[in-house]
Amino acid sequence: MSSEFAVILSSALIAMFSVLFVRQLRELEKRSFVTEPNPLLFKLIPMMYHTYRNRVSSFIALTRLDNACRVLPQQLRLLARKLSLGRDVEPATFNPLFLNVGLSDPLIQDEWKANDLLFREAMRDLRKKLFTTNVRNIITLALTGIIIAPVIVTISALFHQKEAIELLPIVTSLFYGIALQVIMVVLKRYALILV
Amino acid sequence: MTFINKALPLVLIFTSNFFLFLLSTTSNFFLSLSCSLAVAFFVYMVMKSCIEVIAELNNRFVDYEVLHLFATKSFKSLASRRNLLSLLEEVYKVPNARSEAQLKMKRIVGGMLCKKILKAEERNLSSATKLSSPLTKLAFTLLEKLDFIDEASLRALVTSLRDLSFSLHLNAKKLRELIAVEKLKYKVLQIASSMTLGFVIKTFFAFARFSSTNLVSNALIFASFALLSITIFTVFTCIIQLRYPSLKDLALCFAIFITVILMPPYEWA
Repeated sequence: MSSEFAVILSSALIAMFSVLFVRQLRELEKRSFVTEPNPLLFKLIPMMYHTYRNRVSSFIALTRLDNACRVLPQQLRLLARKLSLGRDVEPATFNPLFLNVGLSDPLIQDEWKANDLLFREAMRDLRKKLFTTNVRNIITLALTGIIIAPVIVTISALFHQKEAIELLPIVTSLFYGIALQVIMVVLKRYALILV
Repeated sequence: MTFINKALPLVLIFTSNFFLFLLSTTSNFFLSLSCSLAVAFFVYMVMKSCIEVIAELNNRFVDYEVLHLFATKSFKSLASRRNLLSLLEEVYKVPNARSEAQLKMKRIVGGMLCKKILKAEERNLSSATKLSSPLTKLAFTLLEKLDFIDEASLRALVTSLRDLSFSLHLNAKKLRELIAVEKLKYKVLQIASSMTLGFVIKTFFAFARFSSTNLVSNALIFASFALLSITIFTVFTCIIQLRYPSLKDLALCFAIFITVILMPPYEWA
C-alpha cells in the first residue's frame, strides 16, 4: 500500500467516524431516555397517584403536558385514557416495567406497596449496578485500551519500521474512531443517570 | 458563539498535529494539506456537538439542584397553605438568590406564578431559565398545569416531589463524586501515557541509530504520531469527565512528552 493511498483512506475513515458519531449524538438527544426503562421514573408514580386521588381533572392535566417533556408522555396519556376517558386504550405500547410493577390502575394499589416496590427495588438496583460497577469499569477499561494501543503500535514499528509507517495513518484513524465510540458509550451511561 | 470559541483552539491543535503527521508520512504537501483541512472540518463538527452535549448534561446537575431546592422550600412552607398558588407565592417570597440554582428556581417559580395569576406567558424568558432535564421539566410543568389542589393532596404531592428530587439529587451527587475520583486516576494515566510514548520514541532513537538509514524522517513520524495520540487521548478524557478540554491539559502532556524525549542519556542523532 502506498503512503498517499493510506493518507486518503485515513482521512476518509476519520470523516466517516465523525459523521457517524454526530448522528449518534443527535439520536441520543432526540430519543433521550424515553425508551430506556429508568428506575427513577417510577418515582413519578406516587405523584400521579396522589394527583389522581385529588381529582380526575388534575390527572388529565398530566396528559396535556408539553411535548418537550419527553419522559413517558405515551404511558401517561394511555393511563389517563384508561382511567378517565375509557377509550382508545392501546395496552401493547405500555412500558413492560410498568406492567411488572402492576400500577396500570393506581386506584387499586396500596400506597405502601407501591412505595416499597418503587423505592427499594428500583433504587437499590440503580445504585448497585450503575455506580459501583458499570460506569467505572467501562471508563477504566476503555481508557486503558486507548493508552495502550499507540504504545503497542509504536513498539511494533520499532521492529517493522517500513511497514508500520505506511500503516500508521490508518491506525490513527481507527484509534480516533474507537475513542469516539468509547465517548458515546460513556455519554449514554451518563445520560441514563442524568434523566 | 461560545461553543465555537471553545471548539476552535482544540480543532486547530488537532489539525496541526494531523498535518504534521501526514506531512511526515508522505512527501506530497498538497495532499496532506487538503486531507488535513477536510479532517479539520469533521473534527470541528464532532467537537461542537460534544461541547453542546456536555453543556446540556452539566445543566442537568443544576436542574436537580433547582428541583431539590424547590421541594425543600415547599416542604418547609407547607404549614397552613390551602392551595398550590399560595404555596408557590410563599416559595417565591423566600430570599434566595445566592447561587445559580437558587436564582434559576426563583425565576421558574416566578414564571409559573405569572402564568397562573395573569394567565400570560412571560416574554423575556432567558435561556438560563430553560430546563435541560426532562424529569425536572415534567415535575415543574405538572405543577404549572394544576389549577387548584386541596391541602391534603398538596401535602402528598409535595412529599412525593421531595422524594423524587432527593433521589435525583443523590444520584447526581454520586455521579459527581465518581467523576472527581476518576479524574485523579486519569490525570495519572495521562501523564504516564505521555511519558511512556516519549520513552518509546527515545528508545527508538537509541536503537535506530545503528539500524535505520532514514533516522530523522522516522523520528519525525513517530513523534508526530505520539503527539496526535496524546491530543486525542487528552481531549476525549476531558469529554468523558464532562468538562471542556482546556489548553492547559494539552500543554502539560506535550511538556512531559518533550521533556522525556530531550532528557539525557539519549541525544538527538
